[in-house]
Amino acid sequence: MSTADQLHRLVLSVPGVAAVYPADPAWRAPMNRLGAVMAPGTSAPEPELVRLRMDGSTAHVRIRVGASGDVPAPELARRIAAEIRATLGTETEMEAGAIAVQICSIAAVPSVPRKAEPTPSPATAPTATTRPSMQS
Amino acid sequence: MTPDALDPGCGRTLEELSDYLSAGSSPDSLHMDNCPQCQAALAALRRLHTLTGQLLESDLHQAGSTDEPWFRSIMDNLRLETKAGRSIALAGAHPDDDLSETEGAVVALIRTIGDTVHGATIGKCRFNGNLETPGAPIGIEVNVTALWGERLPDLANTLRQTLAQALARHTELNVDDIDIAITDLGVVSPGSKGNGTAP
Repeated sequence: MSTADQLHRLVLSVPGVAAVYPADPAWRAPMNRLGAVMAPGTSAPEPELVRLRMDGSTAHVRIRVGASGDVPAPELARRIAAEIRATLGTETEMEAGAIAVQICSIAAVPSVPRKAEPTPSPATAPTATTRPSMQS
Repeated sequence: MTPDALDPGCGRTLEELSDYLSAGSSPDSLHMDNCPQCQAALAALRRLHTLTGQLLESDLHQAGSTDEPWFRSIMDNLRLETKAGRSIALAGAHPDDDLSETEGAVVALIRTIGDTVHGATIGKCRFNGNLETPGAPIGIEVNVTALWGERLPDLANTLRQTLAQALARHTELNVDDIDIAITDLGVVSPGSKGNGTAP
């Protein structure tokens, strides 16, 4: 398992993380448009979920996550960064450099009764990068 | 590491997302299923569909028209919210931490929280102030479509308190004002699932 995969699993296991999104928000856009013209049906590469850049032995990490709403989002970002630093320091020979964590969505944990909501469409269910326990 | 440039947004249109919601499939579904902006917009579209389903048939007919001001306003704002927007800095515990949340995530949170308040559906939502400067005073403007029969001052107060609690929990913004404007009234059919009161 690569270090990026290891970090992906680690972040998904942090309480309060609902999903990990592609590190590059514009991923696939050029491939989509090109692919539609050049080779319909061609699959695009999988998104890079954890951006890991090495500078000598120093690892710089960027990750974008969705928050479940159970944990305050700022606290969640700090927990994730701390977990990444700890893992890099103890389970690899890398030194942690800049750790960028961006919260890209925050699920609402209602304090008042919710209105009736429609049955979620398959089109709106996050897929492979979502915590299994968080899937609806 | 050089910090990444501002998030450019994913570039999908509301029309593409609406088509995806209707059809349940899209050639671009892999992106839409993994993009937070797309997910937030899809969730808001679902809630909007629920609202329109609660309106009287006459209103429903009008709501289906893109000439209806309140409907167009909500759709225009959802269109804006498919962008991640500005990056809102969060305090880090380590000097090399670069922590943030997107403006789009916070706007979507406001919309979701606001929509849970009985009788309210969030329309326009805008921040006033410098989001990218930690501690800068921020004002928030929220336009609301209220269901007929709600006592509007109470609705506005409940909404303001609920939003303030959510923002205090999930952001480090210095929110000094939440300006709520009731811009439209909707009527719920007596036979609908909604809890609103028919006139």
